[in-house]
Amino acid sequence: MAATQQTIAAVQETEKYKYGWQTEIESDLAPKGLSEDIVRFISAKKEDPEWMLEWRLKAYKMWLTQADQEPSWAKLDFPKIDYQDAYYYAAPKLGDAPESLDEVDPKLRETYDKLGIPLLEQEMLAGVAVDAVFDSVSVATTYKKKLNEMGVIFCSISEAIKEHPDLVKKYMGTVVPYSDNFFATLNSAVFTDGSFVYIPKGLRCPMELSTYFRINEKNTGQFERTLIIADEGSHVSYLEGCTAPQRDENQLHAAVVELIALDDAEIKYSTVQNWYPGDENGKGGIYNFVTKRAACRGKNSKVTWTQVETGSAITWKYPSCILQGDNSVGEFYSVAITNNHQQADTGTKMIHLGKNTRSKIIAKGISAGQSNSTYRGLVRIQPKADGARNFTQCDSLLIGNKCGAHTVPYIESRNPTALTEHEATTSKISDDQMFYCQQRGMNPEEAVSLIVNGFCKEVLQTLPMEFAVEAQKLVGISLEGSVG
Amino acid sequence: MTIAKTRLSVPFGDTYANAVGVLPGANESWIDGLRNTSRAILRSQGLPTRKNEAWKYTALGELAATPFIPASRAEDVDVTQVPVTVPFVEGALKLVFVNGVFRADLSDPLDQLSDEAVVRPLSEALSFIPQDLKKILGSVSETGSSIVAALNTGFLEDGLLLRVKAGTELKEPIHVVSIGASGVAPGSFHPRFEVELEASSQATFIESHVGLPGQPYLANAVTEVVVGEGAKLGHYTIINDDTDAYHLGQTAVFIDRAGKYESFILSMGGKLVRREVKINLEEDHGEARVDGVYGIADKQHSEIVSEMLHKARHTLSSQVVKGALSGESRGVFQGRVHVAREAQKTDGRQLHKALLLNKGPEVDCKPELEIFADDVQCAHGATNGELDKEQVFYLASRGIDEGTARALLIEGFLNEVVFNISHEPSQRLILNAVKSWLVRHNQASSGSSR
Repeated sequence: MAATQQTIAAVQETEKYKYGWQTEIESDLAPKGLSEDIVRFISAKKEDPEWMLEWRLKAYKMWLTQADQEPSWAKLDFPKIDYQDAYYYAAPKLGDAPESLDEVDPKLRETYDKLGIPLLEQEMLAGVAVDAVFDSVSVATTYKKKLNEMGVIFCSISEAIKEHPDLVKKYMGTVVPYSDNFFATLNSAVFTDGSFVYIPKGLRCPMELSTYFRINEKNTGQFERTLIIADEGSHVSYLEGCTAPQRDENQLHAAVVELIALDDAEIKYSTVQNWYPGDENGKGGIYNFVTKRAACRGKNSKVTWTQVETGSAITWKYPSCILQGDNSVGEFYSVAITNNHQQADTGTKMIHLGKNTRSKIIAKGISAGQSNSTYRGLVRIQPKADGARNFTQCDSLLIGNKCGAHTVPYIESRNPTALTEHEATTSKISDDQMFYCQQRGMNPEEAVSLIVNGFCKEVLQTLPMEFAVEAQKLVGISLEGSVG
Repeated sequence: MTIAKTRLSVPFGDTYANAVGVLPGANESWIDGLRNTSRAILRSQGLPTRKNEAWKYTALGELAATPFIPASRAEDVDVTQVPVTVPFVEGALKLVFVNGVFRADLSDPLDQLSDEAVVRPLSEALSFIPQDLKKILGSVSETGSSIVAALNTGFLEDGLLLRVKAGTELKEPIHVVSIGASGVAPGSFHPRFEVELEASSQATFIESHVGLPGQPYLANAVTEVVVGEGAKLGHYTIINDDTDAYHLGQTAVFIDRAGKYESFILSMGGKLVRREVKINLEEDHGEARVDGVYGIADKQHSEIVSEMLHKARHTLSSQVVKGALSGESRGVFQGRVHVAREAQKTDGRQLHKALLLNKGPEVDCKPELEIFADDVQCAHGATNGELDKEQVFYLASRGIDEGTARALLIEGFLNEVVFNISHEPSQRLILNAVKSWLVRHNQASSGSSR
């Protein structure tokens, strides 16, 4: 009961602001901690229908029973998270936002310049309080109109819950059920944001969909929930995140992404994650716990995950594919770069159920400084997956002698006609390579950037063009200070 | 709130301990202490369930529910009637153990090696020369990290102490045969083989684990090896236990500076076999080769769990494990290569390949790399699949019937690893064992359709 009163008090408190000096702020703050009331509060804020609230509450109750089951198997070392000491609903604090780029940390601006990001985008990324002048608004609106005409639904998940409840009800939670794991359950209870995409039958989505263009929501993404459905014969490419470091105040992130590909459909999901990794001494930084899973439901369906993970202090992320449809294909391309005190435990699961299903895993891990990076993956061939095929390649590169690189693959095969192949290597940048580059006038940092880019080439190539160029620069920037 | 069940009760509690009674060396406080600590670990941890990561693929429920009695105390087993038809390595000194107890009457006389090495049954060593054991016993095989080692150490009774003196090259291989035989009740026994090679010495040590049909038995065998500076050991283990038997074993090895350890594990028998191999490359320039082959059928379960711990510079480890699976068997390979921060210039290689011969078996593989040093070369690979149809066709088109063609190809696939064995008589022994498994297997499967 105390919590209820606290909530009311907090809401009233924030109401006051309405008439204070900061007139634009709405009542967008829930008190610290997680309780049933907070879940109800979030649900009310999001104007959820009744069924959605029930779903959230179910998840919340499940989460309570899992309290002692926070996954601990990953090779990650971080202090225990106090879930009652976090905000679960807090809109961006406008008061804290810098008013112009001049107020932004010069280091951050330097990075933007290196990445070659246009000034306006820089302002958006840095969280500068820009509004109507922002040119891309009209661009985004134009795109949205065009997509609408084609029958593509691309909106925020909250909007989809209201506008397209049938689709959401039919698909949400069918790939990642609310009971899936500790973090997914938490997300199911408190998610506030995320994208919803539906591509109608037979349509090849004419443009890359990106959260960039979804301007109606500020992408704070603490508890994001994304659902993408590609109906029969459709094709879509979705971009998540961006190469530039984003300003973000939430330390704990727990996102859920569900992809569903029906017959002959194809989804390409690309991520560049570059959240604040903490400083050189390992202080601060984002904890990123993500559950991403795709169901290749239909025959001949295909899902490709590509990720470039350079940010976050802690990365816990395993984009997976359930290959149900016959002849379906799952692909996972990953580059994980850790520097300073970062820790990444990432990989994939490929579950082969249907006949002639194929999967390909290419994972490149680069560790520098005192960081640790782990590839953890599962390939499972079920008895009915005749003719299934898997190829896995994990390569690790160590830069310096204080970091660690680990590979933990699980391969389980129950069908003789299936063929699985796994190979992994660990190595360092050889002195010869460095010497060769340097004698041609490169400085050591440029040399490392070039060599590492070559090491990751297979993965970076799979990124959409716009991303690929920036990602290459990002690889170099992430490793700054790791040599010399 | 649900708390995952992570332990099983153990059939090796007080009743079992009472039946075992007083064991040799009990009056030595450190030996007694070693046993008691191990039993305490066993009591507090129990047997692991599959919630325990290392035991993810092996369920011990059935074993834990079996009321084992100490096999060495079984009065209804007439050990003199145990037939010894095990193939031996030519020219080897043969030592036979029945239910974990040394049988002088079935073994070669021990006095022929007196100058070069100490060869004593462990029960004698525990009673009469415990000080000779103090340095090695329990020094490599850690009871805290392995329940298999804890069970063995807790009921340590007999086995072998082999110590090869510094600079000696032991020409005669030592071949130990451990035979399991249960009476009316299922029995378990815990043989312990202690092998120490002093600096610059050389030896070959072979262990065969076999058994008689009847009630199931549990062979809980642990081999503890110390390879001294510049010493060289060939260690070949053949697990061919009875089809109703359990085998939970461990090989724990310490390799000193520039020591070389070459080993091979052949796993073909048993209902449930799980062999742990733990290699400590403790000093610079140590080398270890740990190869293996498993051939399993019906409902057999075979698991090899290996750990290569590179703790010093310029150490080298290599491992190739191959398996052939049929029936509804399950083969598991878990291999971990760990390279410590200071173990620069390490070279670690690991490969696991499995052939699934029909619909039904499952193979699980977890090759793990854990690397904390940058100037290293480490790689692992794993493949699973069936026999190449093209190859079968190639042979068939030359007039070889399909059954023979398949057998030839499987043999070729497995023998590739066996050829790595540098000790020729041991290699021949293992080649023959592979061959006879294939003949047995082919006869069994030729009746049924593929």
